[in-house]
Amino acid sequence: MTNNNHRVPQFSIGIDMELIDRFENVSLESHTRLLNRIFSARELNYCFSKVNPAPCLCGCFCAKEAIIKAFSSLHHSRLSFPEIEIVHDGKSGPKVNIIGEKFTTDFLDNIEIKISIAHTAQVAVSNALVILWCDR
Amino acid sequence: MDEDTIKKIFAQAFEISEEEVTDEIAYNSYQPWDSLKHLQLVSMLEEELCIEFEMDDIIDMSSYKKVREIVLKYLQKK
Repeated sequence: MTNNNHRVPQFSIGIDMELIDRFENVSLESHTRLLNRIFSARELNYCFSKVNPAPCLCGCFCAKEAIIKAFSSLHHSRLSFPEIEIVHDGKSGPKVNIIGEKFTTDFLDNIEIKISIAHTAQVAVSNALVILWCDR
Repeated sequence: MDEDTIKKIFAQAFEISEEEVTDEIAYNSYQPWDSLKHLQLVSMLEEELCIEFEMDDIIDMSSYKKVREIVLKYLQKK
């Protein structure tokens, strides 16, 4: 756990919403490249374990997009979809992993990301809060 | 031939006719062109043309004109 006594937080938020039916006919067999551009293997395993994967895929997509928007307004590192992983451990709300060799331990220690995902029958929505800890 | 193919794939991605595809179509001003459609377009171009884009080029695809320029650059390298 990092000691934040000598650091100040910089906050940024992002939000995104999408129509779930845009993911309705997406399958692992016919949309391999698209799915691998957006989701990690763990995310695909999780969403395609559902009877209807579309709301899960759409919610994960929205969460990633919300995080990308929040990061862009911090004018810090640019994130892309494969570098963000939404993890559902079944215990509490979804968590976020940042993946990629370009991200140093120092960078990851200074970042906190909180997300919330919701959906109706038609629409998924997610918001993201990114906290970047900076030296005073 | 290559330019015709790019236009055809672009039209398929956006479900419009090839006649409707113009250089002026841009990410910021063409409402159907959102982030998900952008990734669908990228995946279709990669699959159909057997190329793989760098992330910076994917981000630079801000208009049909830019898409065509970037795709042609990759096709020339093949």
